[in-house]
Amino acid sequence: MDILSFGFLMFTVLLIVLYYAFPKKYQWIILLLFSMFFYCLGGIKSVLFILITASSTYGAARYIQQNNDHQKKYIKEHKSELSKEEKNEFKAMEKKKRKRILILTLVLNFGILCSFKYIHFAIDQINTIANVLGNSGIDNSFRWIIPLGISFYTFQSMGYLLDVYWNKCTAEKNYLKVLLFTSFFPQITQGPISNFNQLSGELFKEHSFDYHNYSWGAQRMIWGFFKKMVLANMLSVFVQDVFANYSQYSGITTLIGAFMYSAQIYTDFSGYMDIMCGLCEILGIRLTENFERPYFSKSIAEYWRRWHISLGAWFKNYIYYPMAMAKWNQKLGRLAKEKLGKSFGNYLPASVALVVVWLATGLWHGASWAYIAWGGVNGLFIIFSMWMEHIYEKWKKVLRINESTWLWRAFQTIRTFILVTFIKVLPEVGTLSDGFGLWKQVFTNHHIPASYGELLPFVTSDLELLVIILGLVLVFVTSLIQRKLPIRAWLEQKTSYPVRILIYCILFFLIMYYGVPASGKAGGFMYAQF
Amino acid sequence: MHNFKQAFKTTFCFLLTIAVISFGLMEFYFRSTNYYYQDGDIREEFAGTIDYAISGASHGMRAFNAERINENLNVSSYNLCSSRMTMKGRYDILKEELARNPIQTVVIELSYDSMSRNRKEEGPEGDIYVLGRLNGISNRLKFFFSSFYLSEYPNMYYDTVSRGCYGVICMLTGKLQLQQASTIRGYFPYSEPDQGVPELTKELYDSDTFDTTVNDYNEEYLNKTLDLCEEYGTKVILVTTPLSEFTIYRCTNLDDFYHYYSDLARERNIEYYDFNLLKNKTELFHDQGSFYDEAHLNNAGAEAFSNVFCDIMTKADNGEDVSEYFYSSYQDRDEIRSAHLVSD
Amino acid sequence: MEELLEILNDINPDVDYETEDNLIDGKVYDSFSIITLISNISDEFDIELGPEHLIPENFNSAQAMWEMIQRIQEEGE
Repeated sequence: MDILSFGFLMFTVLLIVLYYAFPKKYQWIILLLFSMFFYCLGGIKSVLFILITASSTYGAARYIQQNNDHQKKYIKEHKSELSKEEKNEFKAMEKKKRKRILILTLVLNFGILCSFKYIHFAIDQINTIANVLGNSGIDNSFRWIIPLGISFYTFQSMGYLLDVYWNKCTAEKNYLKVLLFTSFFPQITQGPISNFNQLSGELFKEHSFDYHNYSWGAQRMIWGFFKKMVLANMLSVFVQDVFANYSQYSGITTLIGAFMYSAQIYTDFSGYMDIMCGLCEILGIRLTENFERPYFSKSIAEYWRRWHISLGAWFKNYIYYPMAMAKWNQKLGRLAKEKLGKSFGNYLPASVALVVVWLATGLWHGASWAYIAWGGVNGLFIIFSMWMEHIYEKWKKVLRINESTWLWRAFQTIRTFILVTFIKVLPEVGTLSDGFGLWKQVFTNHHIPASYGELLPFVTSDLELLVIILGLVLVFVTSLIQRKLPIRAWLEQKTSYPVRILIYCILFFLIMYYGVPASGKAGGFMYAQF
Repeated sequence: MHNFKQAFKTTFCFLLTIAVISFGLMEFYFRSTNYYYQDGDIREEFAGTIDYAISGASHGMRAFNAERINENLNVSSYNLCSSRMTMKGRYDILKEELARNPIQTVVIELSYDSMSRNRKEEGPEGDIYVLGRLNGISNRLKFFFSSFYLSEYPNMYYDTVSRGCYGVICMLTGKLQLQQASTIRGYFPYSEPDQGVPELTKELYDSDTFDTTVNDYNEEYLNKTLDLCEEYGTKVILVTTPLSEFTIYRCTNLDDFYHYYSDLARERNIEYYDFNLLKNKTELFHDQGSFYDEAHLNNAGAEAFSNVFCDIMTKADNGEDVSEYFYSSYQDRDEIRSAHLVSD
Repeated sequence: MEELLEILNDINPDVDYETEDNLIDGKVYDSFSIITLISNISDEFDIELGPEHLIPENFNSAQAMWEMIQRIQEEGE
């Protein structure tokens, strides 16, 4: 279902009404029904795959839980009879069983995910090799319809399974609850990826209608629609133009296009989050945040703790830590400590884990070398700054840099924003060489545009540009305020009730007038000239 | 309960504010700017003076030059046509004018799509123009709720409000052009050059047929219009305006429409003239010179048509049998003309 | 306990480990520090730590860590 549609508005209103009209114990069932309906609209065939994931997750989690419980019970009952070796042997055997089921389920679900996402990329690589060897290769023209949200729900359910395996949460006994956790519609298309303990607490508790939640949720939704429909969609036209034509534009125009891309992707993604988090807030459900003023970050590492937070957390908990703590990695670290010194010993396991995490992150974002390179570049920056940490400390002492001055912090923030923009843009222009081409244009083309039209050739309406600039300023100022307190709280303190109503009405009309056509939703009334 | 009450209050205040601002924007749109079928104010000015009305869609809007008609027939005419007007739209506007004018004659322009026009498939464009032409909030609301489908409401809301916004922006940037200026008693001459009619080439263009399905809805309102005119004792004349030779050549079933309208006219004891069947049609109207496009007359063509129309009307009023100036059908026309060519 | 405190102070000497009980939830330790801590604890106390042990309850304070170490040494998990 397209969320930027009247149909979605009706869907939302109906959901809210039914949710609070029915007895509280049925609220999660209503969520499940609406989520399934939402998903089915994306194509009934793809429902099969989400059911496979939900069912296999449910089954495997319950098996692992039961096996674990049985193991504990057995040990407890036969505590006095068994020797330590016998206990350990029994535990190892049971663990093997659990591990087998875990691996099977992981392979099944990640296998499905990778097949859908990477089949064409894989075939392309095979074909490249085949061509070198003189073969024709495999036909890559077929197209599979990728099930909606497969990247998100697979990660979310596999996270749950791993949590059960690692005893961090108890397996859910009710299949429908697991199905809801997997298919919960606000998260299905763009996340956030939640962990089971946190989300299930929110989903399955009883929610009373609360005015504060309703008001704040609705405000957040309108703000999200504004960011996405007005700012992101209008910027996207400019950005697409620059990405297509950068070779004809001056370096400075290309640079402006790159910064516009940063603005666009933030307003688009965080706008969507605001819409869904706002809706969940109305329903009394707290979703985990995905953004925390990412462009105010002072380093790349910090940026990745503020951008797409839930994805970073998932990779940290389910790839980084397990990999860094793995026996072979620990062994490697010990070896490095012996041969190369203490710091090597500490940094090496973490670095190995980070390389894997970042290549995987790149691949998760897109099935191409450009995205893998993008992930690699991010990873390099983070690994590099990790290694250089204590050297930087020394330099800062020598140069007597006071880190608490606003000047230093501004420098760090701007530097990070520029770096992040360059890295971000790399896989988005087209192929990897297009990305490098854009970088090259920025750095080597020193032509100063002679006129406003030459500086911003993609602007067709000055008024639209003004709206975008003012909108971005509004987002920026809102972010500044939100460092101290939520903007909605700030509004309650500083403005009166009628003024707040008016503000949201103005946003509504801006969304109507600029957002609807920018999102391609205008009904297409053209005056026919007869 | 307190929570529900407060939520209800806030939602209500929000929606009310939206409604008020929307209403303001819509009113601004209807009273000002930028699209040229708004003639409600002009018709109000003329109220009480019109004795000759022309009702139809775009073919009529571009064909009947009201000033020419006034000169030739010594009447005070008004062209009530606009693009894509549905039979209902025509009825509603005509009803308004009949109520406040001493109209003696109504000319109803009927073409190949007047009866077959499918409002639901085609969309609300014609009704949007009518909405703009009506004066007064209650008139517009009445017309809106009686003519538009529920599924069109969101789009209509968006369309009208955003055009209002556009108008406000134009006003603030000094670019606002108030409407009028381009209509002369309802007749809208073209302001741009002809789009052109394709050259008649037998091999290049396939023959075509127009849809002959008569929509009950259209038929109902045509009959209502004729009944209304009867009520007022108004004389009714049915007219089909000239089409380009290109269209006549390509379309193989124009006789179906001709016979339908002729039968209707006979039943109702009113006159019907299809000006495509004028014996000197091709001398009066040239594809490259009288037509804006395949089906609409341009300014020169409208002038020529208005003159010949008035000529025929005057002759008919004087008791002359004007049927000798017309072929009896499209088939008849084709046969006689090809025989003519052969014998040449 | 002293060996544990030694490890902790080596990673971050600015924390008062007697009173601090929010090392993980309060983000006092970042992910790199946690990894270093874990590998040093497993080396020093000859225990195997896995992701299943990586919960805030086990690492939020020095005392919690000590209890976890003892538990693993005794019961092997």
